[in-house]
Amino acid sequence: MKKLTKLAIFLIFSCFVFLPLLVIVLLAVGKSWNYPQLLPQQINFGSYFKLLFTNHELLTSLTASISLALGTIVLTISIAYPTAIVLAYYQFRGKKLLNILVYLPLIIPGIALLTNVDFMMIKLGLDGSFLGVISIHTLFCLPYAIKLLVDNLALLHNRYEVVSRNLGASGWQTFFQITLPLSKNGLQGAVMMTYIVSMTQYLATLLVGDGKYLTLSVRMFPFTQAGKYKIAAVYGVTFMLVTLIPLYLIDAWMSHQERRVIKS
Amino acid sequence: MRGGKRLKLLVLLVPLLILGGCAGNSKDSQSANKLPTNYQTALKQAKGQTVTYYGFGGSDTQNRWIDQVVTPMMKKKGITVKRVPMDIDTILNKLTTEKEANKKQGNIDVVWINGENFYNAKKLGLLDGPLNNKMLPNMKRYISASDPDVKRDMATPIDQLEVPYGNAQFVMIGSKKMFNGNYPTSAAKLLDWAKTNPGKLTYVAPPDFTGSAFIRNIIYETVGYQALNDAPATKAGIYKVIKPSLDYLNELKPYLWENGKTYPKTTAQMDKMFADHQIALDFSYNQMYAATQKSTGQFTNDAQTFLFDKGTIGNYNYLAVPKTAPNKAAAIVLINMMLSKKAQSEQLSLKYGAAIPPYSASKMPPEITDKLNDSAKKNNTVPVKTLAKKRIPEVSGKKIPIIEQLWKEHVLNAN
Amino acid sequence: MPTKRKIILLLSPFYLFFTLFFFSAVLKSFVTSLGYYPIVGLKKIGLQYYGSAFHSATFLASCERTFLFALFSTAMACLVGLGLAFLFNGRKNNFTRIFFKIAQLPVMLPHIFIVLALLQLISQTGLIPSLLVHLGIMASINHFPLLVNDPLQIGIILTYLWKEIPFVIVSLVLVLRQMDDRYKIVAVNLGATKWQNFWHISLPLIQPALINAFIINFAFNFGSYEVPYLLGNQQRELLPVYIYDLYVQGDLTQLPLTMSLNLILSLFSILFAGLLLKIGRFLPGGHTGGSK
Repeated sequence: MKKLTKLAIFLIFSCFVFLPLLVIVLLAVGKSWNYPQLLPQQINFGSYFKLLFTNHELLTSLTASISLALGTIVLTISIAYPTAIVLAYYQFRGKKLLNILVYLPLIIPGIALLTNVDFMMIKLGLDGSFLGVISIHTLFCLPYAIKLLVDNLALLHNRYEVVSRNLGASGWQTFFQITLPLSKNGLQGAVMMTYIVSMTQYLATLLVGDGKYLTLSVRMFPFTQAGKYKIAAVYGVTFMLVTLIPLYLIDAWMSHQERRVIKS
Repeated sequence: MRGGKRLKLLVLLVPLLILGGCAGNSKDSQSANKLPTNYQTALKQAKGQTVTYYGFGGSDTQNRWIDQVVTPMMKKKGITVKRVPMDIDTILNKLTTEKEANKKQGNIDVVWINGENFYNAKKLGLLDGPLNNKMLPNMKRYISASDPDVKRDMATPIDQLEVPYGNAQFVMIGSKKMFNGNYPTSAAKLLDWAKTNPGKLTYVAPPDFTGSAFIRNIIYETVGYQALNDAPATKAGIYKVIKPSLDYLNELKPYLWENGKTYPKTTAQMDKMFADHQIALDFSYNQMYAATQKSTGQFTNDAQTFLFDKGTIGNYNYLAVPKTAPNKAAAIVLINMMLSKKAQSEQLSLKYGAAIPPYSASKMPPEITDKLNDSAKKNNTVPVKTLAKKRIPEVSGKKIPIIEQLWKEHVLNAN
Repeated sequence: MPTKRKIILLLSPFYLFFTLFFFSAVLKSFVTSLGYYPIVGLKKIGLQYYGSAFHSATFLASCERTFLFALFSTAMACLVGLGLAFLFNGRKNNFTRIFFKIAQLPVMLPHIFIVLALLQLISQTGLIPSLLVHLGIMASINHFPLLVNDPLQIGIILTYLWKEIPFVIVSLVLVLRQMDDRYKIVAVNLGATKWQNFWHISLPLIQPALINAFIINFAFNFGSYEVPYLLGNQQRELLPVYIYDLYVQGDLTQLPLTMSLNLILSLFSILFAGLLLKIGRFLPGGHTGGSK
């Protein structure tokens, strides 16, 4: 009985997640889908894939999206990781303030923030540069990355570290052999979130990128805003593919590594 | 301990320093490049340059026109075109920020602009000029300087800061089946129909561009263009003049979809409701919209384009060159190219949006007129001549937000 | 003290980054909100814009409505997410592994996706009403309730739930997986009931993560305009849409007002986040979790 309830909940949840995704895929490959037809009258996967592989625009925006996302991951993790260690392991004055500070980029509305960040970027000479764009992406990724890392690190406590240091390991040794492997889950979450948040940035990329980084989101957003469902769905499906495939690959690789470690 | 404090102080000071100072010694303060004086120099200078066109990216037909027609034509002149999809609010935002930060050279060469946005851009001095006949041979050839739309854009004097490149007119699209062939060609008829068929009409809520235009069209129907045009651009002044129109909309409200308690938010939502026969009437700013929608399978032959007897709002799309444009010569060549007969006649086909050229009636090439008439007949839409006859100008861009505000207060939130 | 130096060293990238790109920008919005915006000739500095905001009945009504809306939708997401995370957190079980994979999906996709899909699914001529009519459950699509642009904001809430329940699940499961099962086993051996187990062992451990997720979601639901702009009801306008409409009217002399409204909104979110963190400290696990 209990198993059955659990299964029912599982099925309802899966429907909740998959139904909208299915609709988007149908929109992307279907033609002439008007009420009262339940399903599109024609389904054509060919046209979708043809569009995907011949459309120069789609391919260049893909490259732009992914290179920005990778850059953002490097910058975000290198800032978020030390910050998370401090928040998880140390007590100091102003910690509460820092805890809230971390969330500020999410709290302050984009309207108030973006044009002014753009102003600063122009002043710093970073407007339209790769560093400028990944910096603004990083700003919006940091809250998520830090949160996920802190949640995770806090659970480990630093007892392993203390033990290891007591046994005479150097700080770096401890970090690479103890802290880093143990925070793998949190790190994976943080990388994943950063990748996604960077991929979905629209206005920030346009403003700070000075029109030089036409990512997938930049191309897709006007269509969704104008409600061109069909084109938006084509971009949307592509977006799903490029987001999901790499993330699942990372995931698979990580669990493979894990099994190897357990075996040895 | 003290080191930490000093560090903190330093950290706090950095943004202040950046904000306040260094306006003068900014790296970009080399003098901005100037507009070329005539087309020949522009062409010579522009060879090998890349020109960046900024415009609303949500119109796939417009995008296609730029990518498949204009870009290859420019390539032949040795100029690369890059299209950046950015809506005009964001473009103005960017230009304003650049000006504020004292940046002399940006990345925007040509922008698609009109109406209140032009008014704002002009007021802030963001646009370069004069864009005149000497630089743009195609403007000289096809557009007469005495056209009202070359002089004023929604009542704002243009002063050679922008060039018309497309012509738009508001049209109604009705369902043959639901109206039974008897289309409501006036506000009064629309209200009558609504009363006998409650729940079958709606309009997009302003500030959507099309919804806002529908409301202005109703104002033209109920109090006339002249009255609104003469009204002072203040909330009280406009309210006094358009009171009958607001009353009309309130009378219509209970007979709208969901009793007028809610409105679709985008034209796309309304298109879908129309395609699904949930509502009988759709609107567009493009006289060929029904035909373009049919060609992609969204509408069926049931969709019929018509106008109000008293006429509908028409306006122009314009192109402008920002002061911070890095490649002004190429910008001029691009604008001239977009005005060329070849580009404009290509744009008449459905896949490029079927927009009417901005040419003056007296200078319109006969083949374009023929093409327009053919296409109107073939697609069963309103002929160009009728459109031109029933065209009512826009009022000042300053008044539009005020009208939208009044609608919100007196119609949307009225009980 | 070496620890002190270590903390400063570890935090310096964060502070440097925030100072360059964030504080400076916020400072500039603040200066603008005080009425200093020389590009359109506004130079009078004062609190006049804040004053006019607090005198506007529309603004205050919208503020209250938005707060209740954000609180409700966030609480829903956190409760459902918490429940599901507890049901499916085992890592050895294949079934729960699949569940976790599915839960990750919505986290990876932008909001605009689900907006697109919802318009196709639950608008009155959408897939679900048509399906109900086809199956004979409903006589005609006119009986289907309005679920987008509706007065109760159901469309927006559904969108947020779709994104945020999975976010809560993912952040909680990541923590739960790390949890030491031995605590639980000991507790059960000592005769703890399931409820005691949850309240005394699991909840304290995940409480900080839950509060963090609550803050992130609340800040988003309270402050972002994209989804309410497309799916909201115009009569019951939410605050971010109200501000956005003001902003896109393009009248730059209104910018100081827009900025002050935005900062009021932010301040409110910050205070609320602070309050939540305070509450978190009094809940089970507050004195240890996340800080030791």
